[in-house]
Amino acid sequence: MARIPTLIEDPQVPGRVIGVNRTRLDEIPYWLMTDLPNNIVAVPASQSSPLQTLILSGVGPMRITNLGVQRTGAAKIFLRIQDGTAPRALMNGSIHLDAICGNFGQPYYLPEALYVDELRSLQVTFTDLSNAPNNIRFVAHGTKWATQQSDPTMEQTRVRMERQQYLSTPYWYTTDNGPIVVGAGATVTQAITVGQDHHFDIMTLSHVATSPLYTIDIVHAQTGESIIQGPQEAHYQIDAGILFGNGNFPFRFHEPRMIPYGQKLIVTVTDRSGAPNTIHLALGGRALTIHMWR
Amino acid sequence: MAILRDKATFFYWDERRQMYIPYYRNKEIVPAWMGLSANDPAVNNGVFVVAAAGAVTAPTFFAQPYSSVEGLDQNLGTPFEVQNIIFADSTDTTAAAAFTVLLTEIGDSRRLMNFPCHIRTIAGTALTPAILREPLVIPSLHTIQATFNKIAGGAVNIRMALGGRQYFPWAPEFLRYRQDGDALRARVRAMLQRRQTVQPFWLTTDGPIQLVGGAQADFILKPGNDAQFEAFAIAAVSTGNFAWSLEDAKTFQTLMNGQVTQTNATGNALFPTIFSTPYVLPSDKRFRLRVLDLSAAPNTIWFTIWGRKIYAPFMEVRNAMADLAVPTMADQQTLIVPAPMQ
Repeated sequence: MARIPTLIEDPQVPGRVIGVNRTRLDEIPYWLMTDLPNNIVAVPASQSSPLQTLILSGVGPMRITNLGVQRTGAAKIFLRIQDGTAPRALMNGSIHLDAICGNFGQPYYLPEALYVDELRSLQVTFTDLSNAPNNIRFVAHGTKWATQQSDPTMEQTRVRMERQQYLSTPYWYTTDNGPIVVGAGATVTQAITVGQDHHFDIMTLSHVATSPLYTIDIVHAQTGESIIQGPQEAHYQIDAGILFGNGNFPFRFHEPRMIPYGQKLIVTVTDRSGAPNTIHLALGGRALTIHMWR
Repeated sequence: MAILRDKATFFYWDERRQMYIPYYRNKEIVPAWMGLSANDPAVNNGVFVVAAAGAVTAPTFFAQPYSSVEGLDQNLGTPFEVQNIIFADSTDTTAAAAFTVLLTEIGDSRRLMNFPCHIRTIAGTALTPAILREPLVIPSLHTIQATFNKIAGGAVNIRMALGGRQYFPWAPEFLRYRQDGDALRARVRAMLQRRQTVQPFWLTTDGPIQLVGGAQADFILKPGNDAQFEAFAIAAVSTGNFAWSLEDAKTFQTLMNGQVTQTNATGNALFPTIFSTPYVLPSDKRFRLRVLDLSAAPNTIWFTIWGRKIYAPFMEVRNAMADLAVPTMADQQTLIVPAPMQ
């Protein structure tokens, strides 16, 4: 990861380390959680939590790179950014927690790092799916820069990071009408509609389902092309197990796929588990602000 | 032309003849595994027995021999570059192995850890080896002493290997490809130079953390005053779930705004929690680790921070940030498996 180099090496003698870069003391790893005292969000059974804010102190900005969670039951999550006075959603609807949060040493890697500072905080809402009281500990891993006020080069970097986030932010899409509920052996179609204010660059796929035994096809409605098989005349559903990862190991595209603003993806799934199947999809990527790109 | 065979190059482009020349020759850098030394009579076909808990197990060692052909190595010997650590435990099964290990560089009289670490916080398996981000370079005739201590249960058979690269600066091929030999020896010299200043280090508490159910306590992690310590990952094993926070004990620089838990942010040697950016702890500083039991039962925790020691002073670098790109995860490959640091 691009960062401040630690070692100062002697250009004359290969391998000789002459010092440690003092500026490295200003860049630290940081774990940001929901507010104190105990960082635990208690969600009543089948209800949503109040809006929780992950507040960063004024010491320095941070880039969030990973998400982790510990929870007592299944839940959904909705992420947004409070930027000044305006909230800005980072997803088109609540997404299953386990599709975009990892745990232990395998946290979910954001498709793109998220910039936050004392005026731009991450906000989160949880919705219980377990029908029982749910205690959720949510953590955002990242890098924080301290003392940037006293270092003009650090301040320049902060400004660059902040401005970049007006061009693109991490974003997630799930199906427009919530999770796909499909009967045993049945086929269901749902849409994913990209918002009017950004293009969406798909970079990862993850899911949580009652059973992973289902097949899926995702077609770009405006072109008729499957994003799975590409521009073929005939396309067909393929097994979800070879396409979708989870919060620990989302499937990462080798090449992102951009869907222009306002356009649709048509998702068709067929259950093959032989039992009713509820499927939560999460398409991870970045939102490219069209005010800048159009 | 210098063609170091650490890259998979089986042919080269000949400018004069304007054609590809296929060639094959022995590699001078080969992937290798260094097991426990067969020179220790206690090591039988790579198997070492760690005595039952409470009994003392004599130290054993990893040894790097010296070999050369007619001085071609120019006194560089045959160094070994450790990139990962692997172990197998045929009695407890590796997933439940309960013993500690203390690694010491005998030639340099340097400990590689401040206190014995739980094996499952520093060593992985073939599926997921514990990858070092700062390689451990073992020159010829150096040994790494390994002292094992069973935590619980009876005696156990273990196998352990340091995986990495074996360098052969004396390879006879260099008589034909002289420039290759010069390039390789320059690389080995740089590696041996660097190891004088930078070496991997594992930082743990002074003995295991033992908490009664629901208790919270503070522990100081002491890397020593001899070098700066750069931390880049955390691995832990425990008998129950727990929460923790970390701060610099002197400056109170905190790394979190609360306590993360074992479940939401703490890996083990197979998948350590890799920091988004390493944390540099100056030589006169300590970490304070605050641990809270979440299991409501007695909890024994082994907590290890992976890092490296840097035997060099802090310096100012003008325009240190000049080349710093804005880091974007989208530009990088997944760091599920950590890559060696630069």
